[in-house]
Amino acid sequence: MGNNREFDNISKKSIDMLINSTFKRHGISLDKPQRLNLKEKQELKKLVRDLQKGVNSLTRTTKK
Amino acid sequence: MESRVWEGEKPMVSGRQVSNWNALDPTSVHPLENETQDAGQIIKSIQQSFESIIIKDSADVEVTSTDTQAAINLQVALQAAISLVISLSIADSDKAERVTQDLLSRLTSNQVNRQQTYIENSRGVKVSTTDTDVAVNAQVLLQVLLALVAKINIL
Repeated sequence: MGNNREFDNISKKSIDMLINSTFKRHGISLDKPQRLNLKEKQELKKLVRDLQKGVNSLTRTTKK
Repeated sequence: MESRVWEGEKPMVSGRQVSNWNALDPTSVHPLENETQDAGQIIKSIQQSFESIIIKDSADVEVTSTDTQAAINLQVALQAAISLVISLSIADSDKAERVTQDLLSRLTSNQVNRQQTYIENSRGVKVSTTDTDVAVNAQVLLQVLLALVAKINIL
């Protein structure tokens, strides 16, 4: 499909809007995010990377 | 002619046995009927996967199938990570919990996956099946997680 990138953008935008509207409804502003130390940041980064890897391998099977 | 359809054991979903739904029986409750979503509700999703693969009188057959359980575990891990990122950015834990529930209740969906593969009298066949529903759900959750991490700017 040639429009994959376009779909990607649309889905990113709609997810952004969903998050924004949910936060807004609960009266949350994200001005002061909690500070994480270096170790915590690294752990979180690794977690996100691992999850990304897991989802990618699942999607790769789908494309076969 | 004997029936070629093999029906596997019905899976347990959320600790209860899924009963057969009969479209002609007015008292029969559809498996998805009671699955309503509202903000305060605990996240629920029905994920049923009925997959059967029958291979008969064949040689050199290779079948690859998605491990649905692994995919669902991944989905749960993604939900937990979303919850974690939200709780890091919102100091009030009750509020963080409410936001997480609200967000996830919009994303999880009810899914029923049915696949039947029948291979007979074949040689050198490669078959790959995937539970697309679970894969799509995991992808949406990942997108939400990435968007949250970017938005909250904690990394």
